[in-house]
Amino acid sequence: MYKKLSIALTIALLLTAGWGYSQYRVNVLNNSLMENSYQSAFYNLVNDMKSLSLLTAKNNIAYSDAQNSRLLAEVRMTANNALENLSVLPLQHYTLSRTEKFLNQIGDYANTLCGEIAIGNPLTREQRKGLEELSKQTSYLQQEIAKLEEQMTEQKLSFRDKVSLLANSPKSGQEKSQKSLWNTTFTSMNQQMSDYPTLIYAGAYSDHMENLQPKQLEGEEISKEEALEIIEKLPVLHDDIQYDFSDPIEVGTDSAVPIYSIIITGTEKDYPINVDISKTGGKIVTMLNNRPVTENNMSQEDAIARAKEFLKSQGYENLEVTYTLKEDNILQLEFANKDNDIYCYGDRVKVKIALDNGEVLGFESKDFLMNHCDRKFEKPKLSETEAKAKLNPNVQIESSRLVMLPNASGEEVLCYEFNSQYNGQNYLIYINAENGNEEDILQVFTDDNGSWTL
Amino acid sequence: MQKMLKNKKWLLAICAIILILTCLAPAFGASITPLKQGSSGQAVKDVQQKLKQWDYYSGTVDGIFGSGTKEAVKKFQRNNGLTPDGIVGKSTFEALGLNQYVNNSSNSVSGTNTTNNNDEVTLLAKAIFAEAEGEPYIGKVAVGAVLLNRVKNNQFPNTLAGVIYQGNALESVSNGRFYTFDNHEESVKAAKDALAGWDPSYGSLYFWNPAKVPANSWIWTRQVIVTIGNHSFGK
Repeated sequence: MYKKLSIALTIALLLTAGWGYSQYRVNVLNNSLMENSYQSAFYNLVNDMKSLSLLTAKNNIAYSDAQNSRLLAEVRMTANNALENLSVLPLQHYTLSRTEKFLNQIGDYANTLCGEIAIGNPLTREQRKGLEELSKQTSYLQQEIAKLEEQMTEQKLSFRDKVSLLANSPKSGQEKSQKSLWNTTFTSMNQQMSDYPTLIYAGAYSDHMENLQPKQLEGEEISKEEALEIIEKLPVLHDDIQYDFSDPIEVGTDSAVPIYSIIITGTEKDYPINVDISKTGGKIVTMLNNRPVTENNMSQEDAIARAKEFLKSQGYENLEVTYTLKEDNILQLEFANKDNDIYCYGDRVKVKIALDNGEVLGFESKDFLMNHCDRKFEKPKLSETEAKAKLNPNVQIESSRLVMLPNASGEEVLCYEFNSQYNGQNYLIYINAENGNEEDILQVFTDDNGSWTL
Repeated sequence: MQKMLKNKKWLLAICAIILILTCLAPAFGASITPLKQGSSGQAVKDVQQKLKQWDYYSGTVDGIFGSGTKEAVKKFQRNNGLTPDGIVGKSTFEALGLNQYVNNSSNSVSGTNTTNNNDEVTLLAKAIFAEAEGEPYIGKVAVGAVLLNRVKNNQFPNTLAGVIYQGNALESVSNGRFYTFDNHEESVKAAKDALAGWDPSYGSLYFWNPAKVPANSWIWTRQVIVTIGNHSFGK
């Protein structure tokens, strides 16, 4: 009896041991897989920083447009790679935020300057000075990362240690010193990264992009009661339904467009309507109703007419459709302001129409409220024929019109938009109406549900 | 075992059928005018150009399909395993690398250059599902919007994948919950809304659950912009 039991126990023990060992093997394998991807990212980062430091140093002394633009293009690519590798590492975001900002900006700035050189504006003295500053920061960052690499090798540190240190608080003295090495290196690096001057330039990551203010949002500041009054009159509400309005909550008091946020609940309790209304002027900023739509019994034309009707009720008179997409029986529409026959793409609103009953399910006007202003249109310097002459002679032009095109940093440029065909593909080409520069090219994609550009 | 094998066979058969269908599909949509002796125009010119480039054709590139062109086409077809009939049809056009004459219906997008944002929708929906499954719809859109705001902000990686997979940024990515996503409908919808520009987080860069964050966390230094469901959103 005992013998049988002990045999059974021995077998069980052996099985457990076997299972444990196989788990251990799997664990070792997974750990080294993880370690390898961290190590590869880290060594790539060390290398990227070396190249970046070298490239910016060379760029400081380069004095021909050709060499400067070649180096700046490489700076852009290398900074992007460094950023990618840095973000793979298992570090807390707040120890990296400024370093990441630095890498984002230096890449974006290099790209913007490269574009400037390409249209015949060589680096100015100020831009060169700015680049020298960035170069100093780069070389500092490079040295710190190289130091960290040396210490890692010396102390045989692995990222695995780093990860387990994050999971459990450090106990032994050695563990503590490891953790502090990581933290002090990246934290001090991060602090040092705020020591470079604010970068204002025409790019998406420029410092001024964080504090954009509405160009011309007018009107009195409204109270909560007034906000409710406006919302009760929304044409999406039905007369025969008893609605429940939540108390308006103030949101984003120091953001560009402070709002009151209100939730409207009707008969369908699961699908409330979320409405945000601007404190200044009482404009609807966002409206979203997540009701599922199961049928499609409305033509696109009728749906667009419904959207226009709604826009009119909100005081938008001159909007034209610029984008349509049909999905889940909902028509997504984007409208742009047509001002003096010129399409202003920055002044855009979005509307969603349910194709079962034509109800407006969504509305968004933040871009319009931020961007809209009274514009003075001057006669374009270039005629349409002159602009046409700037195009690739191999494209077939199907139509053209004047537009205000917002660039990466939010400024508007008056352009001729040429709707063109090339190799059976559809493109929109933008030629600056003042100086003939080819500002942008968008490819148009079309399928059964709509069309979009990239 | 026997049964499994049988199943596998079925699977293989289905795969084969799908494969064949996918191969055939483009043939239905295409409308091509074959070129033969007597044809003329830009297409003939392009064919002659290619044939000349590859030393099959020695005549002038004039856009007129004559006997010289026909002989050159036949030679090309023979060398490339095509039926040497001297007529430039779909397969010959493709072998010549002149795909534009195969997919020439004017407004359809040809196979080589289509693109959509399905990849981004899925990636974002996965993150929304893993981080905010039990949250109200608007809270899901807000989580998606925060991740997209990070892409646009200069303190974060500049791609969606970079932001989502960033080091220790999202707990659900670190602990694997992210991978349990099974096309959760509401999350996909929320991802689409966020990508279309809806931002109920009002430009927030962070979101956290105040009930779950330890008192000494760095996140408390952030300024709250809006609270939706269990999440605080802030900068």
